[in-house]
Amino acid sequence: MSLAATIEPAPARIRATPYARRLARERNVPLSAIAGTGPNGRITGNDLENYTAPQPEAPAAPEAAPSSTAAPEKRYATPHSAIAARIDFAAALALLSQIGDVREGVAIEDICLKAAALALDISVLTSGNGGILLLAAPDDRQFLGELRTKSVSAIAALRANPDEEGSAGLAVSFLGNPGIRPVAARLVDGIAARLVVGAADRDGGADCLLSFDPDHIHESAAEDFVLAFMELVESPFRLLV
Amino acid sequence: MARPARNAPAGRESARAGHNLDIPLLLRLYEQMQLLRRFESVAQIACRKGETPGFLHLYIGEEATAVGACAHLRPTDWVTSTHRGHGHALAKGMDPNILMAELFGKRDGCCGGRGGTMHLYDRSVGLFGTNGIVAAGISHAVGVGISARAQGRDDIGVAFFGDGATNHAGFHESLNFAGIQKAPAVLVCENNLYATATPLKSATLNPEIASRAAAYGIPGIAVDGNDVLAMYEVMGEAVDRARRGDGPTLIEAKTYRTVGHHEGDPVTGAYRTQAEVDEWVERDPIVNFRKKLLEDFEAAAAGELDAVDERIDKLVQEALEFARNSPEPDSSTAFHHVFAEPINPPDALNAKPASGGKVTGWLDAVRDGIAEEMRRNEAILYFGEGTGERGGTFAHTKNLWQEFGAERMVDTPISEQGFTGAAVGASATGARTIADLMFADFMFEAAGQIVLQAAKLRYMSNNQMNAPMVVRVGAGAVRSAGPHHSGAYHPVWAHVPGLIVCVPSTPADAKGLMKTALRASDPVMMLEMKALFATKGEVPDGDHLVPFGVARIARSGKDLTIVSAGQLMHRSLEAAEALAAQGIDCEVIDLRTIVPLDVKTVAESVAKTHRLLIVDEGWAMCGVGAELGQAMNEIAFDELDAPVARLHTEPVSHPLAPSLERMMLVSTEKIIEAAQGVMSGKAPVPWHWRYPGLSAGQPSVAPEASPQPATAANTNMPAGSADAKPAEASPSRGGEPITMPFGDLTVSEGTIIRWAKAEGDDVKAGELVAEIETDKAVVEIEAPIAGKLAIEHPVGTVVPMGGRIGGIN
Repeated sequence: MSLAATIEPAPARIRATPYARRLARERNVPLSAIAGTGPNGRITGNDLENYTAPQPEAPAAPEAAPSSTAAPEKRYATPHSAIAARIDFAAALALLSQIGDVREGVAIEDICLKAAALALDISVLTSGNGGILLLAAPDDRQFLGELRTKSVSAIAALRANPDEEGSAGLAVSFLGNPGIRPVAARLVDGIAARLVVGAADRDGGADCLLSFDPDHIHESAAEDFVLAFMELVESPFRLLV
Repeated sequence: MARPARNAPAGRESARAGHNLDIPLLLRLYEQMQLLRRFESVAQIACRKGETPGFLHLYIGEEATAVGACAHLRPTDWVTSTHRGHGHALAKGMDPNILMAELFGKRDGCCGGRGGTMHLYDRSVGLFGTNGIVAAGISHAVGVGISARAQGRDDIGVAFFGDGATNHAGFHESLNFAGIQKAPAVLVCENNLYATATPLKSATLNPEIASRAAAYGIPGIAVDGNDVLAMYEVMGEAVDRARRGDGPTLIEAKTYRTVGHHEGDPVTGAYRTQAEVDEWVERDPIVNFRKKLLEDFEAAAAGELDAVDERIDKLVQEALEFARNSPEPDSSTAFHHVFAEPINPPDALNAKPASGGKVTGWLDAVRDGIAEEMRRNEAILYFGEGTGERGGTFAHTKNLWQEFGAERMVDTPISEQGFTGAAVGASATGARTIADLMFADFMFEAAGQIVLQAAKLRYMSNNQMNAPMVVRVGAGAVRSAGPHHSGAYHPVWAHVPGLIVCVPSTPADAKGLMKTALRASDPVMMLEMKALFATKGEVPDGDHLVPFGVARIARSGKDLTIVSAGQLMHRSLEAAEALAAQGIDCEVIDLRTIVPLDVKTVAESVAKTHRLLIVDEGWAMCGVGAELGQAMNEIAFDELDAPVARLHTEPVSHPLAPSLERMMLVSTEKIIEAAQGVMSGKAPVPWHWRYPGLSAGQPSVAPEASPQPATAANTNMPAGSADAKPAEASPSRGGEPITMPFGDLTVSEGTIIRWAKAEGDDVKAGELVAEIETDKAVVEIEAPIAGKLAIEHPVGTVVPMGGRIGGIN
């Protein structure tokens, strides 16, 4: 096999007007899903207007799958604490639009998962007796490309002492529709905190909720985590470099 | 060699009678001349030390002219001056502190550091401006006089200019116009025998400048410009004549600068001999007047004059310290004073958009607007070719002469530069002016006055002065008017900061913009499309003003925005109707003014339609299409769903033959085609880049940028001095530095060719210590103070401008 044959051709740049890109961003439609009807196959605003999204799959269960790594069996009782923040996803959506030109399938969930992982690293969302792991993502979401690789390695780095007593999990789940604000989220076994990410509205803003066990996580640590998560999502290039 | 005229040929006896010379006046003349001399000497040293940015043209040797002339002037008279203007500024009464600070480019300078040596303005003393453009100020002084007369005052305009200016159209047009208008003005030529380095006798076969007045039917008189009393007498009569309303006088003051053209230019150079300079030094106006005061008039004792000198020295020293201590201008003010703020007059800002009204033809509508404003403001003057009794080439000033008379409806000779300059001068001093240049093509005859004077006046004078004038022209193509009567050219003027550019498309807007222009505070280029002169439209009743910079949505639509102005706005509307039949719904925007450019209205429309086509009668190159297209790129990028398209007049001169002209001009059909192209995602591509600068396959290599300032050490060795070593620009060593002086902008370095003294020698202040050879001359380096010489660089060293070569301990 020749060397050339082993090199995948660079994905062709998707031709789209600035206006079409804006619509795609706002509607969370990957440009790669659209056939352009303009000159040279350029995607135009009309192509976006005429695009019908495939029937969305059922939203991921808010319940997160427990990690395969050993986590202490512990049931955290409700009521627990929760804090929320409004986060601007515009920059993250813009980045996705650019990534969408070269690779399909990378979505806002990927960015949030990686941001959550790095935020854990930054804010040390942990109790005195152990680390906390990023455990879960919706099952229908696949990590892809560079983003995925880095996310995984970031998570792996957090697993410094996976077997250590007291490690607990952070579950991340996503709401499907703009305008719906998360106000409460139940914690389940082995989960010390749960991050619920709302869907971005036309201005790119979405509410995000962190529900956590106050016995396990101090409120100031929870705040630090949410702030770190917000900063990463709002400056998403920091996730790549 | 040109012989200096020792005696003024005529007019002195009669002049003497009217102006008695008393001793206080004589002493004042002496003191003034001494102020001019000492000020320039101090400025000269500061320039050599590099304390003044730019370079200076010193007035040394010519003091008697300015002092003798300005002694007759009031603060409400205005003086226009030259590049060699510090003397005029001081003689007219400017505070030496703010003058020196201006030369230093400091905040407390007379123009806040914006103008500098060649752009000095002081409204409080009536200094209209020194000027970097030869002959430009002459017409300003003529306009100043006409302005004062129109306002019922007997103030006058006085222009100083050099012999070089007398071969320039600005001189001839202004003298002729001043003569026919009996303008209250005095025109003082300082004949110092050289236009930079060109001797007068090699520039004209008639070097008797005063005799040129005869060509224009005005008095001309030559006078010894180095004799302050002769100057005073001649000027006295000319000023009286001007104030009486008898018209202008040309005075030729024969004088001489005993310094180089500018500081850094050698005193003798390649164009005059030491013997000639020596002869004129003998005739020094101050030395000789002092002698006369002491010996002939016995007007003062030597001690009294010494006291005057001391007082002046102190004054000048204070000015130097004032300049040094004044702060740099605040860089955050760099963008102030381009236009009045706000740019619109209050009446236009408050005007409610109006519609309806009587159907009126274009020319009558604008004429009505001008008449309304002229009734409202008696200081509005109208300068134009054939616009007086004859009512204008296009009948566009019909009946105005009958109503407002010849003094306000000024019929001008075909002297676009002369009367446009006069319009600048008049508008800056209390009048408002319309300069009617008939055809847009003719504006270039007055381009210097428009671009270099009117547009910059507010900025360079630090908001002291402004030129509220309207340049009115018929513009654009109509019925084979041919290469010299068809152009629009509005992008040319839009390029220049400080000019408002109007291109109305309806009689209502044309009238409303003209009325706004006549109440605004900045120069307005009013381009009325000749093709629209025969059109009619509803013109709102009452005081109808249209603000600058507010575009009008002429047709609402959702698919494509077409932006246009002037006659092509109507072609765009026709195209929009045809396109509507094809299912393309166009929004048509009428810009109305090109400066200010209403990008906001266009961007809002693009946010609706997502497609933009610009249709403009100017050429495409650096034109309205390029400007608006880029504006959308900057502020509405995410709205664009197709490339921004532009349709301009094709880049050729306007041909006569209708078949050729049709090819060149934008038509309704071309607009329809371009719009269809944009709808399918394709912009028409203009072909104005078709002339390649280099043949294909030869990539041009940009020369490496060399942004080094002149003060930086230049390590390039001059040919033949391979052993020369570059000197440091300014090493920190002890003692008073001896430096290569700043000066000529064309020289960046020199080579030390001789040390006249040895290391450790005792030297006196002013004593020759070294010689540096530059490309232009050998510069003699003097000891700045007395003391022991320290040589820091040997002979052969290449020294940058301002570089240190030694010190005095």
